Amino acid sequence: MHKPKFDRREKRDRFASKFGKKRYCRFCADADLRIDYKDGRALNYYITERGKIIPRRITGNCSFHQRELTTAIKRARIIALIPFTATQVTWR
Amino acid sequence: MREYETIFVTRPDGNESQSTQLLERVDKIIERHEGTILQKKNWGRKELAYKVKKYNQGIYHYYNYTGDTATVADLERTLRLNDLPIKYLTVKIADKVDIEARRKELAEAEKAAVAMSAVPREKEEDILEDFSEDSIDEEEADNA
Repeated sequence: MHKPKFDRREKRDRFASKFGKKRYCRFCADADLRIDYKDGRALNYYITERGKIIPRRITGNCSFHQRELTTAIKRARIIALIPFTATQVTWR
Repeated sequence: MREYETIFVTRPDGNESQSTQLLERVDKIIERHEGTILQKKNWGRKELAYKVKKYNQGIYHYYNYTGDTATVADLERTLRLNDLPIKYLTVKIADKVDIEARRKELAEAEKAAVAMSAVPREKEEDILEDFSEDSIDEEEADNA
């Protein structure tokens, strides 16, 4: 089921205007910022209230750092530094 | 020798002797496999993000060490069999390590981290300010 190209572009433009935020990758811009799965507080910025990982088009990360971020979040979930889903959580 | 990082969480209601025994065992395993411990930390009691075995808190231990695959296998087996740890995770950091250099790096990172936490973090722009979960679900419904 192949979507014709023009359809996708339209949708993307609509979407971009909805958010209209200048997007840049925080981690590329600042070389000191390290993505660390041990730092629960920093990772909290990148998950929603329900505990879902925020997509790259919202955070503005580049693909490399978004992938690193995703593995970091998944690892942090394993050691219970951030939740898998919000229903499990009583803090916050 | 590869560099690994292992974090394990123990039950909050264990007693002192049990946990010292466990930690000693961990140290011995690393030594036995001719690895070296680069850094060892106890993060203390922390609130867990979700209930693990009905506990809401756990005591976190962090080890940074060199070793090989047998070391890791042995260590994880010990953590699994012992009933004090409730979660563990091992991550490989590097394939080749210069021990002294790495030790210094870690010690410095430690000091830098302490210095940073003293300075209040500036308010970063909130990523979520114009984002709501509902808009994501709509998008998914469109794509379905």
